[in-house]
Amino acid sequence: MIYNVLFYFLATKIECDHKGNIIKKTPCSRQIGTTVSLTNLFVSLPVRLKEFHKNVKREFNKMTQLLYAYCLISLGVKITCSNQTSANSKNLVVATQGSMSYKDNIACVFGLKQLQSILEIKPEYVSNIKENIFKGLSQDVALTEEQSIADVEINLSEDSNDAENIESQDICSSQKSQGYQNVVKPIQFTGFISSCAHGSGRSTTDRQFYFINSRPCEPTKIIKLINDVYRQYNPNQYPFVFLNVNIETASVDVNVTPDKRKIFLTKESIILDVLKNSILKLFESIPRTLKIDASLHKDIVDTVKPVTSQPRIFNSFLQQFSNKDVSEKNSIHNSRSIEKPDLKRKSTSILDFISSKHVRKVDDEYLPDDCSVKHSEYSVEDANNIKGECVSKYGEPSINNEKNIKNSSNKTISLEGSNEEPITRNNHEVLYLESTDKLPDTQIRGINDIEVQKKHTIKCKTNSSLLKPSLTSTDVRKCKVLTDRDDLGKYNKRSVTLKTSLDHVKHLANIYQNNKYKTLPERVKFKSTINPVHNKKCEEELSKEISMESFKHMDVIGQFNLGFIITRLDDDLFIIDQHATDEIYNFEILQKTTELTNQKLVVPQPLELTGVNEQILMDNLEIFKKNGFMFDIDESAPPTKRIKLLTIPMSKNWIFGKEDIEELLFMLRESSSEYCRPSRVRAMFASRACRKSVMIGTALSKADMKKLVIHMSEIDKPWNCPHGRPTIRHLVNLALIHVKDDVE
Amino acid sequence: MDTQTEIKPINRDTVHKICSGQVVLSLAVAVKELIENSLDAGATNIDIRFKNYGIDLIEVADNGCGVTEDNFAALTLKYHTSKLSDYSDLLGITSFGFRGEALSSLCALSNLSITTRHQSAGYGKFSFNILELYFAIANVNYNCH
Repeated sequence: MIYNVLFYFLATKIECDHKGNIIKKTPCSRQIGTTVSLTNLFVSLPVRLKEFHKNVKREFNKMTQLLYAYCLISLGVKITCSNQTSANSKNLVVATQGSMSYKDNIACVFGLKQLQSILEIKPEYVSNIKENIFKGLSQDVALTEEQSIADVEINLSEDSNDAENIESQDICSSQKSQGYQNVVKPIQFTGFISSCAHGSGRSTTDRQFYFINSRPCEPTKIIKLINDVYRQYNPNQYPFVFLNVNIETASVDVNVTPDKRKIFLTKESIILDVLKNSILKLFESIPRTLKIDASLHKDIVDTVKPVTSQPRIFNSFLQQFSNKDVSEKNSIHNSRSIEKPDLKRKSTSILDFISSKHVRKVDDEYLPDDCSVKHSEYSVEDANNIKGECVSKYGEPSINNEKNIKNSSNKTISLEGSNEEPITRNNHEVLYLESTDKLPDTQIRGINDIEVQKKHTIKCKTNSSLLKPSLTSTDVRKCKVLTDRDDLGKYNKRSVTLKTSLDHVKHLANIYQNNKYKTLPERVKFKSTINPVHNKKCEEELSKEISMESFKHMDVIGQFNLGFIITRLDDDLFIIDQHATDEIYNFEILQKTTELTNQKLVVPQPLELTGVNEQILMDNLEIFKKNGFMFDIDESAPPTKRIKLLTIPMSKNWIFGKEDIEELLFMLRESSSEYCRPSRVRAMFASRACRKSVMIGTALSKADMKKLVIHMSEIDKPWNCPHGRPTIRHLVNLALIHVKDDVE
Repeated sequence: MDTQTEIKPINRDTVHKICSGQVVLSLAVAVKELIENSLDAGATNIDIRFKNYGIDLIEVADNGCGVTEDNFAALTLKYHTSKLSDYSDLLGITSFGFRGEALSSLCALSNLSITTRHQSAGYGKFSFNILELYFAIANVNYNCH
């Protein structure tokens, strides 16, 4: 009783107008502290008010994300957040217990399960510059200051104590240069991160909280670094991150943006170094990660950032390498081959060898028999070589040959009697071919033979080699076949029997004439070539130019290779993958219609979802039911304990669980759609659809093909099969072909 | 026609409204500012209540130090803060807020009411009574033993 009397009227309630003036003061009762109440938020900004009301749930979710950050960082503060909607009663969003440890806060907000999969990041100060350099850290030092690189190299030979001194000096000097001469405080931080063991991370970055001096913020570089490092170990997931960096306030600028979320740091690079080192150290010591993974990772680091690991050596190497590369490119001009640099280097040595040998051979050329023997040797060697050389040989040796052989064999050529000019030119081509051993040794028996062969090889040359200098090995073989004596006769005569009548010719001429007047199509609809690189472009083009209706109007022309349907729409020919298209159709039908059967759990499983996620789940029970998940909801329980899993979907060999629920929740939060399916359900549908579909190699009747094409018009996204294979591609525009003919 | 208009200062109320819209961008920022105020006040218990996701009501109640009566007038004025008085203070700032624009901006954008009681208000008498009560109970217990 005494109390009440004492603290009655000790608090004051203030009401303000929009200008910030107090309009009313009323005494009231309250314990020590402050309550701020906002009603009609954004009432004075009509546009924002409307936007706020429209997206209120999304705004609320964003707010809770931010609220989590404050819940996690506030030690000894009990934060409770609740929401009351008109429909249901008070709903707890999040509650912390006012504990003095960050771990307890994490458990309060995200549940105990999250706590089990995280590890504490212990600050790992870079004590050894050697290690530092090899790990690719302190990049800025290596890159900006030549001097420091020199220091480092000297230090490599000395003991680590010295290195340590130098390193601290480095820090000092870098600080001096930035205008801070304060006593160096080491960077301290408290951090937790998901273990990098497979499956310990999260599918999104939704649980990453960064603080500088306990202030929640978004330090983009740190975020990027942590995610990058984590993905080296666990490439498909993102970590849970809680990181509070403590540095002297003088080196932080918080007054950047109105919401104070962006922060400038003067010692950012040092923080990044320490962080990277700490996380690498942490993950290295995880027993569950395979050792192979670690070594693999090191390789990656080495190849990606070799400059920092061995600055000088690598640079010089790089220079040499690039020089070589350029010269190589020059010699192997036109060759489109993408080969590893090692191979290229090897090829030069072989090239040297070959060309030297070749010169000798040219000297011997007067004796055809010897020569041919050598050629045969050569071809054996050649078989082992890659096409790059074949092309590179093209350069010098052939020219040498020309000079030598002109003397020797010009006579024989003139004997042949036809125009001299093309043959002398061709002469050198022949020699080229000979020198590259594309002609078998059997040819060269006598002078006459050579002539005939020459004439033939000329043809070969102009057809293949000259136009496409990048002869592949198969091309080479082809040449050999062609130069066989049996074939020579045919090619020499070039006689083709052609059955025709005058009418037929006239008719053809008419068609030709008509085509000639056909102008170019007004607009080329499809420009992309069929190439996996251009898949996206192709798809865009197709979805722009082909409506769902146009599938119905497509004429089926026929089946190609028992795997593809060729169709025509006006002047455009399309190729459709019969399996892929049937698969996506079956898949979409399955996805739309299937309701997964569920199995009841003997003991309901607690889910430990965050308050927001619980809310989303309760709002979308129907979608979960469709996916076979049923829940037991206890609205009066504290958050993270309100929802228990009652049933899980079962489908033959597939078993689903909590991860799928989390995934579904995430999908629903990003964009709610009726057909939300977790990725594993999707995968199951995809594999079922695949088995159900028409296989490659099945012969189809025209009606079957038509049906498949029409099915394409009935689905949402016909462009790719569920596994990502493209279903349809543009082949050619017939109008364009005619025009091309005319031009030629 | 000469259409050049005179360049003149914007009146204070308009400035207030313009700037406030820039400070509080969303619900998240509004709540963030209020939580930061509570944390800066040294609260150990913060209770956040929403009605209808914040459309009807956003309320943040804390057990922080409260505000004394003589600060009431400056509480909701733009660029009034207890956190710093000189720019150099910003370098050593440890509190969340420092610009003195959160509450005044919220004022401009919504209907705001503050209920506060400072720790000095009736503090001495209160604690004395508690002690008295405590000793009384202790005495009773002691006597019982």
